[in-house]
Amino acid sequence: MNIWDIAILGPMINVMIVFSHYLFGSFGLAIIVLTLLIRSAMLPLTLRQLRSSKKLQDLQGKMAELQKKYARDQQKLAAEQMKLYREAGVNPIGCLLPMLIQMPIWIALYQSIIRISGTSPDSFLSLSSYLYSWDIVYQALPVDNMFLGMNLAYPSILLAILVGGSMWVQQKMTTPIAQDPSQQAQSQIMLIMMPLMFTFFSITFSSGLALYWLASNIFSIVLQYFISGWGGLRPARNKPAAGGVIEGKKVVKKK
Amino acid sequence: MTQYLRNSLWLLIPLLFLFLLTGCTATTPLSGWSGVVASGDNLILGSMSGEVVTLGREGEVIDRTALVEGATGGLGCASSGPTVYIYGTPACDGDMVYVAASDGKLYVTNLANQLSKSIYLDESNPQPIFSSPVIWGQNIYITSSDGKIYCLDKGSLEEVWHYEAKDKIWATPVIYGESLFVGSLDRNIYALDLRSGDLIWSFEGGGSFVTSGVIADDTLYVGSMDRYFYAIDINTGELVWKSSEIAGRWFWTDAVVLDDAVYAPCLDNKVYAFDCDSGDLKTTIVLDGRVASSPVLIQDKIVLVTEDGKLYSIDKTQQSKKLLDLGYTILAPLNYYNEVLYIHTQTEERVLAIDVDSGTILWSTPLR
Repeated sequence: MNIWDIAILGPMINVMIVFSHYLFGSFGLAIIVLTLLIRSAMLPLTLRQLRSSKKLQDLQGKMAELQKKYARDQQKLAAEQMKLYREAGVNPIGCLLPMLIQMPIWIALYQSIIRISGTSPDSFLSLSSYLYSWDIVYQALPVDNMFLGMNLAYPSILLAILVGGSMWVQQKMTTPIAQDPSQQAQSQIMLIMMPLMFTFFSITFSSGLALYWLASNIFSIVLQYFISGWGGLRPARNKPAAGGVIEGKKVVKKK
Repeated sequence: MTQYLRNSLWLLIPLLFLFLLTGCTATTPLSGWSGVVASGDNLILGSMSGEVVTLGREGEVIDRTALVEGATGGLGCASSGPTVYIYGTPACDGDMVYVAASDGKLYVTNLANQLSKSIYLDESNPQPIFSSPVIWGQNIYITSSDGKIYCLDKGSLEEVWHYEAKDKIWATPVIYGESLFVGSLDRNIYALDLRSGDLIWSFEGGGSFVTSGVIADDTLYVGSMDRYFYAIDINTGELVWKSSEIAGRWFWTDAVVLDDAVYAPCLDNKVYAFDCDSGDLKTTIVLDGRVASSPVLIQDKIVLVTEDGKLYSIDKTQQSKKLLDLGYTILAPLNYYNEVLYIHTQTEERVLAIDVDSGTILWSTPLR
């Protein structure tokens, strides 16, 4: 047992088993409740990320101006963009922090699901090393892997599609409305690539992990809605006037 | 903004691949841990590569036959390897070898002419088989992760009857008299009529059963995943006794009865010796590692091996002696034929032949 097993994997495995015991023996419900707890614990970080995204959206007008102004000098453009971020107190990479922090949780969750779901004697044998000596843990095993007709130990196409779809909605809500075509293309790539990657992961991994991603995405969507409304999901009714850029819904005339 | 998006994208992609890699490394891929069975002058086992391997009595490889040709690819955490794994020890009947596999099929090979055939136990819902087939009379009895125990005609492989438990069955059935006993992950031990498959009784324990136990003096001795050890009357299904001591981890392997004591190896690095009649704990023998492979009774000694390859003997006075430190991971059950102990190792996959009296390795055949 290394530090990862003792500090992260062991507690997660035992907590999930105890949760499933109290949640009618349902492993699926245990995953959802654990997701909500993890996301709630990370709420301050998530709120910071959402506010940062909102600020980035608000900077769109100024960014477009800079791009037009320094169209022929990419170095100067990059420097000015960074200056603008600094002045607005925005760290563009900072948006990724919650995702970075969640990554060890995903890994631990994936490893926990594989072990707890016990689809083979190997996984059960491995699981035995992680169990605390709580009676309740031993009473709860084996957990019920079936959740809404899906076996959480195996991949589920339906869950994979839902993960991709919910991630697209979440991304769309946070993606700023880009003005120039190259920006739009980049946004579109990002908007499609992430949901596709997670759909692929969901098809590859056990659907217990996909259930975590889905619950997590829904949590983010709800949170995002209360912070900044539907964001990029709103239909773009206004087109930029000649020489103007869209800043939210307001058309700002260029000076 | 373009810069931001580009940064995000290039940071995310390696991170997600890192997730894929690290997420996969600590998973537990299927391996297979078939024991060794003697058939005439040969030894037969299922390898971790999904082959039926035939060895001579001196360890020479006579034949290797893959149950299924080809290997799986590995996307994400799907490890590349054979398409089937063999956990149960093959069963032999003359020239016929019966092997159960993780693809839910029972494979039958005639060693004389190498003709083979296979059937799904349930073609509509094939589930892995992690137990050994048992031949008794004209029938073959086999359990599956689909929660059923099947009785098949050993010649035609047609189903005679099946009985369905409430959860997976990983245990190999035990046959005694006219009854069959099998443990299930649904926490029950079932006693079935051998001919009809009718339920005679079922006993519900506090945890799942991954073995079917051992029978002596009309009593079935079996350990459970609730960390208790049970003695059950095989005629009535009533509890004779339940261990008063709770083990540190669950009971994973079969127990062995020697004289008036039943010896139950446990995953908590101990062997518990209970009095057969009263269930009183006679002694606890502490080993250097956990025991995950079923022990054997050799004359008046119990021989067992820890998962990390330390071979022990325990005599009837409950004294343990370390015989050898083999240095391999061993999960397969031990087998003893003609005064030789055979061990199938799970690291550096090998078959070892050991003279227990002298504590010497007679031969060691690599299977990779």
